[in-house]
Amino acid sequence: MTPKQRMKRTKHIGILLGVAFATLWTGCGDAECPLSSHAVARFDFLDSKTHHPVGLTNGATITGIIYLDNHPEIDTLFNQANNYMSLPLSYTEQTTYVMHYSETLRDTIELTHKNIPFVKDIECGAMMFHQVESMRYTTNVLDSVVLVNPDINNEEKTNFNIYYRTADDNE
Amino acid sequence: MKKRPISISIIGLLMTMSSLWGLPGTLAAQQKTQPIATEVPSQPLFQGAFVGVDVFGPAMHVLGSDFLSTEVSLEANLKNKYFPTLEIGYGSTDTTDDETNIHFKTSAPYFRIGAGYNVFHKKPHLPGQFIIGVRFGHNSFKYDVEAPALSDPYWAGTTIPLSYQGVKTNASWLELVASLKTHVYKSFYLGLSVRYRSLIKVKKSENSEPWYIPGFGKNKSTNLGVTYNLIYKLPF
Repeated sequence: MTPKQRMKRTKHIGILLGVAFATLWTGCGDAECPLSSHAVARFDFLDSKTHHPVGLTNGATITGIIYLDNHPEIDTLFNQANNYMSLPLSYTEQTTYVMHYSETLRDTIELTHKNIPFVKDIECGAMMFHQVESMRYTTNVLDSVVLVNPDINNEEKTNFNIYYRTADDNE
Repeated sequence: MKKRPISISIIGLLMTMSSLWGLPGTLAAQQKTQPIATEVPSQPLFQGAFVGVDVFGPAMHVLGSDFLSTEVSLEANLKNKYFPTLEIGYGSTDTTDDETNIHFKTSAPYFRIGAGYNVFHKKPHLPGQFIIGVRFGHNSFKYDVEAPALSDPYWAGTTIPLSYQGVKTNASWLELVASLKTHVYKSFYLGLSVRYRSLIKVKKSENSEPWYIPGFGKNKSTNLGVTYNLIYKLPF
């Protein structure tokens, strides 16, 4: 290789390195925002005896209630038969879920929680996380509710297990 | 918030790279005019010290970066082989994102300490060094973050403000550094370094994490960094 060719090659390598590096450098400016910016509580439905997943019957509806100045604000949150549900929490200190299994049969789960506004990346926006401090529930159909993870954020994980007595258990 | 245009980055970096390659006394030119030494005579331990000032950070800020960062480096040359280095800098930002309208502000000093190894130490006839090394960086600082109040998307009527002032935090990181230093004139050198940074830890508060860490860059697990130093060889 002649000195002229060597110089030409060095120049080309320099340009390539410069472009590659500039691309990398610019790529570093992109925000890595989480896929989900909403914090939801995940409730898994389980058989109280076998701890296997069970599904709610078709037609079951979940409504969420909060009280603003003692007036209830009701929102339908969930109406699909599945073996888990993901529900939002309110920005007040208490959120109540009413699980309507039929027109007359229902259970209520009441959560008391702390609300945690959180910001990490200004390009991704702020998020609201929650931490469950206590809960109460009725046991008309369900057997028990267990708090698995009190931190409710945008990570996919189970926060509550709801145990149901199935028909086989009642026999 | 100002976005860094890609064209500006490319142009700036190409200028940076080409300025080094274009200097008199490059490797190619040296190979043409001087024989390559095969044996290195015994060398004194201390062969000088360098002080450098980074101009890449201020230049990028002028060209549109949200961050202003500059630093001074102090480097000793031991046997033209080992280069213990101390870097002290100051980084700041005061910016509001156009889309989210979240404001973040901080300004703080930082330091890095580490060492490098001259890959070309057996070729003392070269007009500079190609050094690979590591750095440990640390800082302790405060920041302000303000965002529009959060409104409950499911139950209307509840909003929660988000404004935190003087949040204390600290961060530590490691850097792998590749740097090229070229003699320009008398005691003056130019140095370009490329740095791969890996965050070791950053202290979170209950409501926030710092968006920008002075000396490290954006708060991510890894970052790339560049410094372009004007270097002076101290006369002792």
